[in-house]
Amino acid sequence: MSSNLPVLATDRLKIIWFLLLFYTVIISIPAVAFDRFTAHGGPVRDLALSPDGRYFVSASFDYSAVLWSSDDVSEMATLYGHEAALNTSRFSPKGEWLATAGDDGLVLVWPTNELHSGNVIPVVLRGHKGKVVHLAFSPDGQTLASASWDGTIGIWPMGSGLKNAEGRRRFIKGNDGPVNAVQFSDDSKYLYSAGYDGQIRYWQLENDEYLRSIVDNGWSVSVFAVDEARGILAFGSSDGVMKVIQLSDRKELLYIGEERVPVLSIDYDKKSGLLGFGNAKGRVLLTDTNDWSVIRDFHAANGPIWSLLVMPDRQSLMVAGLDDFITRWPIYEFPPEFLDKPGPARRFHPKQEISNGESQFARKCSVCHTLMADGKRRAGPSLFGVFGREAGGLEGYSYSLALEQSNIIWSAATINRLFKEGPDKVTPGTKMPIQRMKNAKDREDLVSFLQSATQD
Amino acid sequence: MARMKFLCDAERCIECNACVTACKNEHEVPWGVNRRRVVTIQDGKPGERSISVACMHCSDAPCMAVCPVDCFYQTDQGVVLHSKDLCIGCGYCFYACPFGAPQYPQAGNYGSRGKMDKCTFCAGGPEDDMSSSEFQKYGRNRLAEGKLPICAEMCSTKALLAGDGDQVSNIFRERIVARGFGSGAWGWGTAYSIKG
Repeated sequence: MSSNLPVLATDRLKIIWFLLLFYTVIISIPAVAFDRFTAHGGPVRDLALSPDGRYFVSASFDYSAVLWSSDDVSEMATLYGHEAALNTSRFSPKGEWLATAGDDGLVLVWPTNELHSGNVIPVVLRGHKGKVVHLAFSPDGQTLASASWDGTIGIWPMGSGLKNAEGRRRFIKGNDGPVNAVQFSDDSKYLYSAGYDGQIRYWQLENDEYLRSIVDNGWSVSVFAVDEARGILAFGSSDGVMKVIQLSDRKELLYIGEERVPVLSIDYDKKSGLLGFGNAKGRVLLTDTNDWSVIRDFHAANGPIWSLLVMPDRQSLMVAGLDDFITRWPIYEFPPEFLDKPGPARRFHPKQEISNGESQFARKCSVCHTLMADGKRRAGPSLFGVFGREAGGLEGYSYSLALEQSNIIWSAATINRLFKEGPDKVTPGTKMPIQRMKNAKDREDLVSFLQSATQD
Repeated sequence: MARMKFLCDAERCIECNACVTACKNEHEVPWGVNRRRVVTIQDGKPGERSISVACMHCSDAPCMAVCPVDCFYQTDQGVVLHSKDLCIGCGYCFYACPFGAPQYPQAGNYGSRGKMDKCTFCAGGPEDDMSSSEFQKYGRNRLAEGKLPICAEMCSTKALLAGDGDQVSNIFRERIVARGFGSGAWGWGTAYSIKG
């Protein structure tokens, strides 16, 4: 027996070594690999980091913005105020304000010290006649600029009394088509803008004078970032070009444009020099502008990358797109097994065989509505128990006044009528986008599906 | 069944904008919307090219892939159309399109948030062919009338070709043989290379 003891001990040692090795390997795979964080009930269009890096905000199709803690990516607050999908958000340089903007053409400015209170009321800045897709604060914090598809740039003085910002607003015209992005110069006296006309324009704010075109790309410029201290300008365009030029002589420092897939997002981290681009087919490309090396070039999603955010640790990257969730990717430690895995199927892109009624719901309604009783966040109210419910009657959902004052009771007939005539006719003034279903069978199949799917 | 395609021969386009004007006139396109436009790249520099561009009716259309409300459909002739009744004006297709085709009227005609508008290959929309409601929402349905898109018919240098993809590519191939070099079919690969 005694002769067996050393053998057993060796075996145990082997097992211990094996376990140690196993856990070392497991632990060495970063915990941040491909983490998903869900708070929204719709595509996430934009991510913005607070100046101190402690928080970031996501702006979503679901009419809400969510404030997240950067450390553990936990949801800190949810902001409701817009009457349509949100497109963008930005913090002021000192972090005292958060501005959001959306398809309703509104810019809302939220005091950040009240965001956790649960009943924060934003200052509403009206004036744009189209959706607002991008915002920028001036570095001195005195001015907010908004880029809109109405073809104008909104200039909102923030300095002396935010409540007067709407009254002292002005709109810069001169872009040929929608404006996609704006950024102030470091001295806050000039403004860069990019738009559908393919130009990156340079404006003097003292008299809103157009000074010159910095980039004449032909094709729409979707996103850009300027670092005046380093004298560089990076932009991405609809013809698939990711480019960095020198501001002084327009010399090309980086050009990536081998595939003609629109570039939709950019993030430039001035401190580290990391520059990221995201495109319409899920490609994320991350470069180090210090030596122009490509750090990462991978597909992070099966669909568009609406937004990128280099996190304060400079070790991870947040990615947002057509899904309800945002994903966190490690920048340097990159387990290869995650590279080729697309996200889960989207509810509004069903791939399996389903009935016509269910398909109508999935493809036309599910981006805004859930059928579940838990009232999971969506742009529209949950449809659970909708039959027999008074219009505007679901507790906890922020309805438009028009729907609250409506006396419609939802039934097969009224829902059918809603989609036959359209919400603008049946419930005028509603937040619901105008949708009609002209095919009577599709409507009947949808109503029939809803009757069975919205009950216990 | 023909597979309808556009081809813009950048070696021939003279930036006259006749295609843009013809389109606006034929379809009575709302103010502020250009279904077709002429883009000039390398403007004033060596290699300058002008390209007449609109919806290319892509084989694997990226607009269809990002639409959250399924408003796009492809006809059996390969024309990508959309329903303005279903469109919610989210703008996702605007960003996804490599040709900048989707347009958004600021307000009015199609609801306060603006329904998307784009080139229909002169093929109308989901309404009844050649009905007044189809014309009001989508413009004239020349394909139903047995005609090809007005922009290509109007092109004086025949830079812009429209029609059955095989015939269009044959014409272009003959041009390449005649002129001895192959550049010019701008956007063809992007729009149609993935499948058929």
